[in-house]
Amino acid sequence: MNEQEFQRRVRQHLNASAWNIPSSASSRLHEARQKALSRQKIAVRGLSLAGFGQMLTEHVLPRGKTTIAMVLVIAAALGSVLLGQFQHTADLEEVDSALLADDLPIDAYLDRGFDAWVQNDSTE
Amino acid sequence: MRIPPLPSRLELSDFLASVEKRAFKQALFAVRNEESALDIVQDAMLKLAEKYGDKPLEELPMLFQRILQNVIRDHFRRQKVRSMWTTLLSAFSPNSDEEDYDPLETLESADSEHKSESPQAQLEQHQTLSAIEKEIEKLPARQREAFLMRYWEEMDIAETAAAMGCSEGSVKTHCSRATHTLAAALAAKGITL
Repeated sequence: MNEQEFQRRVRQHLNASAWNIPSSASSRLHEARQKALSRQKIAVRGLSLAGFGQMLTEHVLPRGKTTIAMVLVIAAALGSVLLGQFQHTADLEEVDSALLADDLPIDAYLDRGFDAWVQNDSTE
Repeated sequence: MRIPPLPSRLELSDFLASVEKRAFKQALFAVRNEESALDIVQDAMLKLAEKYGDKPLEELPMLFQRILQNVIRDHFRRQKVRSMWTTLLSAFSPNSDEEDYDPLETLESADSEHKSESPQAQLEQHQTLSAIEKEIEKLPARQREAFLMRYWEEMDIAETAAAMGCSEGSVKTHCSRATHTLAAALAAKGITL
């Protein structure tokens, strides 16, 4: 007898045995089934959050690679714009400070005459 | 996109009715106690209905088997903890009237109960069946699970692997070993199927 035939015959015997379980056990199983059915989880479709989850599952996740690539491209573009703006601001600050430094030598602040001239100049 | 059909109450009822007896026997092979086996099947049915009652019909056999095996394992864990506490407590009360739990005693009584119920006309078939069941009980738990799911529940290798939480290769190995062990044990008893 080959393996498949052996397995088939074992199955037949086991089936016969399962159908001959005591009636007390059968009725307990019946009760258990009814109890389980009374607690069956029912699928909820149509609620906003459930709908959002369904949309994610059905539309976004199957195209996961494309979605991830698009998100990465958008993030990279935004990052590059922000970085450019920071760089521009830093350049302007550098130029301003250079101009200020050129216009007014640091020694001028130590000169009392210059201080008096600034006072007179602002009152005129 | 095609939405898989969800089981109605009637379909779930039909599914449970089609598996409950085999599930009871499976649990009985594992725990060797009728009351415990019935409790296990009830727990498995409740968990399936409560947690997976909205799953597509074709997923239910695999899910039910996975739950059933987990409930059987939980039963053994609880039994282990209980027996540990019993041992500890009995050490403090040596004059306790309660007898120690003896699995062999339970097995013996279950067997004798089964024998008394069997009709005389089907003695030979009963003996063969009894021998098969005893040998299935003796199989290592993982081999028994794999063998019963594949050849009794007629689940395919992928479903069995998913239900057992192991690789398909392991399922094949468990099934092959179980088949050879069973065949050899029955042949040694002079039983031909």
